[in-house]
Amino acid sequence: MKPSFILPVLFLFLVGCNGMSDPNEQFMVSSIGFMRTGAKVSAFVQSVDVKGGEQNGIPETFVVKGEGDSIENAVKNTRSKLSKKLSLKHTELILISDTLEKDDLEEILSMSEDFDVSLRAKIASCNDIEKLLKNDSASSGLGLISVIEQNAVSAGFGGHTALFEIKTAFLLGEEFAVTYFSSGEEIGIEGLYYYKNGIPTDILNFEESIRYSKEKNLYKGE
Amino acid sequence: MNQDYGRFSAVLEENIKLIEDIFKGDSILRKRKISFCSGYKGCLFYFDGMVNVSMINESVVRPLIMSKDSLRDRPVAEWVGYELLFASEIVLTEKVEDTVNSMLYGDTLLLLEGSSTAITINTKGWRTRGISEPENERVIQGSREGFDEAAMFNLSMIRRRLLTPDFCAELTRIGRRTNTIVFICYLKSLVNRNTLRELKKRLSKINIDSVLDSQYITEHIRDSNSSVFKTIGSTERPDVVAARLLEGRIALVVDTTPVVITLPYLFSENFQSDEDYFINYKLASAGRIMRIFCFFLAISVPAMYVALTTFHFEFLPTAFALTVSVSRSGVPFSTLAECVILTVIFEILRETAIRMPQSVGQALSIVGGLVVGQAAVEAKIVSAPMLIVVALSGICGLMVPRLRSAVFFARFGILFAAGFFGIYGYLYSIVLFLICVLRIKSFGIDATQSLNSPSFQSFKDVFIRTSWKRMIKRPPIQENDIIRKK
Repeated sequence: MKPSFILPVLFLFLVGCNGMSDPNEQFMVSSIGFMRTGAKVSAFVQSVDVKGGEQNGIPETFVVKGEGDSIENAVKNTRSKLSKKLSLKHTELILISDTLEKDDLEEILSMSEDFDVSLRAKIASCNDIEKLLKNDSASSGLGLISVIEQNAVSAGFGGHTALFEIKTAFLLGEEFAVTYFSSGEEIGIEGLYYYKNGIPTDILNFEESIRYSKEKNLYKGE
Repeated sequence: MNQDYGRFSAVLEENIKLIEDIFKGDSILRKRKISFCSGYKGCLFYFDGMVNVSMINESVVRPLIMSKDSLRDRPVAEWVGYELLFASEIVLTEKVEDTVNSMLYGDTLLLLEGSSTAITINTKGWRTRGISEPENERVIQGSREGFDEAAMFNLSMIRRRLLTPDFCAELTRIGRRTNTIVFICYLKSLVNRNTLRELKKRLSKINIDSVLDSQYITEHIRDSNSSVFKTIGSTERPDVVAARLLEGRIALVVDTTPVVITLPYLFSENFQSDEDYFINYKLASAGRIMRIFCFFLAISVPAMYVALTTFHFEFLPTAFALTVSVSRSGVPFSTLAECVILTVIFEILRETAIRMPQSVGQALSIVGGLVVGQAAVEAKIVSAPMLIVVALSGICGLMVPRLRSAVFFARFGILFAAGFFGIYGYLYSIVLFLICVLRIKSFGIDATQSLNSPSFQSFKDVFIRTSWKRMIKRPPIQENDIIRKK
């Protein structure tokens, strides 16, 4: 082989483009949620059931839970239950419970970088993440996102919902608020969860959420 | 395999025996002894099926038998040949080899008692397939004439389009055993003399026993035998040959094949359709751009799909990524293997459909494309998006039939590069591919001249086809008389 051909091939190895993985070898995570109960952290991974059926053309989903003493270990335990690579490249929603601490949030943000989570992924808060994700079984996380977007249109308020917004707020040490889902049987939004210095501080009702949104120029209503 | 048989003697019986010995065992050799002008004897030899028998009867046998003339003060062969025969073309020769070659090409040999000079009479009259539209170069508008297997007949079709003494057809023979007749055709005032010299040099170096098709010659004279790109053109249409001769190119008309070779061959010709010049130039330009686009799709789509789904899954829209994930579930092969297998199956189906009779070919396409494809997806042997990707690539490849071999090999090469190295592999292989394209040469001329030294004029018949009003210059193949339109 001529040297002119060897050089590009060598370069190809050096660029590190060697992460080949077939789509069916990956576990495509549509939503991921984290909850802390005392010293334990639970990770909930929601994925499309590729072998399952469909409801009204929307593929069914299932939720897997993993536990550990940190976010990283909880995610690792989830992976071990699935026997497949976790792919968070198409994760649309990251759910955080109000029990998570500032360090946990920082770990989640750093994990999102490791897993190449899109910076446009939405972040929302909820009390009972497992229940919320299971109720969303027929809509693969995209249902929860459409609820957030519909709320922004109908009620008018919207929090700092994108991952890059939260990262920026953390970097600058600013306050932020994320959409807060109710824990009932019906999926709905209670308002915004207000975080100060990375610590969940207060749940804002609709009026307060609208006021907050207007203050932060996040108001979507008329 | 030419042999030197020596010369004829003045004894008729000896000459007859010589010819019979040369063609010993050949059942289609015909012999007819003839007496004429009260006392003169002769003998006719010809091959049945190669000659026009009625022409022999009317031009040779009848005038000889009916003649009451007598030999005057001149050789007998000249007397018979120039005064008695009605034939339009006769050749007097003493060399046996010349007469043997002429007989083999449909001439009739007349041997005479007392003469060591034989007469060959042009009585060619074999059956030809006739003029029909070439299957592979059909047009909606324009001439329907296509070449057939007789070189002389093909030359007449070219000459009818070039009514100028500038047109020249030089005869040469190639093939030690087949002695195949090849005509080197060109326009004397336009041809690039260097190219012509180089062609003759390459033709003279061919030392093969048989030439049964123009491809035999193509493979011997092309610049690089390992290249997957065409560097020598071919066509079955006389109007295309005439147009190329008018651009200063050279055509090789090979007897026994309807395919005429043209050279040099520019890369842009791969995207040109014969019809481009017979229809509205805007429509022709749109078609040409589409062909170029389809060529890139044909070599890129499977590779891009494999690279994106196996290395850069995040580049795909979520909804599409979900569809891919769901459809890939249960498929036993890796994405790369699945793509390679499907592409090979597509090539098999295409090859089979071409070789089959038309009615069977259509049925095969339907069964292969729809029924087997649908069944394979349902049986989870392949995924539906992959089927679409391979079919799209295959159909796009059919848009550029002249680049068939390039598409075939490039598709697999780029696919493997993308399958092992992702989008980087794809980009590198595309760059390598483009380098290979830019290095193509045809008879010493850059096949991508218009890209290597771009100018507005040179693009006028490359990516688009401008109107004839604006096509002022000929392609930069020859140095003389470059202005086409004044």
